[in-house]
Amino acid sequence: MTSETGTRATRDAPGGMFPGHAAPADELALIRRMMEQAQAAAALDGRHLVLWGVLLAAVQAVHLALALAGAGPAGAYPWVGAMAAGVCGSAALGFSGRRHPTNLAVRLYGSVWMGLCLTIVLLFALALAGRGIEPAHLGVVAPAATGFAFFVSATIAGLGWLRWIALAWWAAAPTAGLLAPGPLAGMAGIALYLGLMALPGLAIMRRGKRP
Amino acid sequence: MPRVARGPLDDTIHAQARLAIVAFLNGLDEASFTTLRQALDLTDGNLSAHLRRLEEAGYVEVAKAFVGRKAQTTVRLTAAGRSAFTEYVATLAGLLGLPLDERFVR
Repeated sequence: MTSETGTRATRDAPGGMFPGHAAPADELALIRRMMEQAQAAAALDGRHLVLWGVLLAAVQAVHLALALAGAGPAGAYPWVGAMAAGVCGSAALGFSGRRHPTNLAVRLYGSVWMGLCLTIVLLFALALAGRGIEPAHLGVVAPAATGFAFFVSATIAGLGWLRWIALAWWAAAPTAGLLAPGPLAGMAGIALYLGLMALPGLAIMRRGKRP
Repeated sequence: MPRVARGPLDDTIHAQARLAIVAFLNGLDEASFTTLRQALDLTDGNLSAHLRRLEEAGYVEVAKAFVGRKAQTTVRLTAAGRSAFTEYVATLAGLLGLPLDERFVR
């Protein structure tokens, strides 16, 4: 460690990056700049959305293939594996890698999605056990709840385009209720998970990497 | 109603590098030493010296921990640090005849 005016450290010497003192207007400009940098550093984590979007699209494809092959109720089993893999994967992502700076917005965003994930997994388990909710109803409830999570995320993060994603999820909920189970519904599900979950996740990740 | 401070500028924060550190930390729960160094483009020694000064004033808390085999230093603004920063911004705004921007207050 060097002294405050050590030999290595000259960037905040007068005339350097941080001159000793500046005019009040320049100081306010510096404060604004640093606070914007802090906001950019506390980037939202889009990796979980990519993980779940790809995972659910894949299991939807497997489910569709099994249904077309006449697998019957056995087609539900891959969903159990996908849910378990998603929860484990999300936990692994959360604990791995270097810690990114957080702020209130990042914590709220994480809480909303964790809450949604646990709610859907709980409803799925109840549906599987034949209690509380019909499996077919989950296809309507899950998109509606996902739309809610995107809508809240849009407000928390100040990302207006996420509201359009929320609206698309909300539109998907009644559509899922109207579509009869079959190839069309299966293909629509795959497109939904990739286009409205994995892709927004990628966009959020790219935004986080921006300098 | 906008707050207008009347006191003189806080000497501890008045140095530009320390003002930048405090302004950066005010927008976060905490930041690693590396994140701070990259954001401020300061040398390790220089950043350490400024952090020590802020720590002595009670404006920041510096914690060291091992993540795996790597030592990680994290820095967070204390309540006193946030209060001093808000007061500093209010004083600046007062000097310029501007209302205090609520975004500066957490």
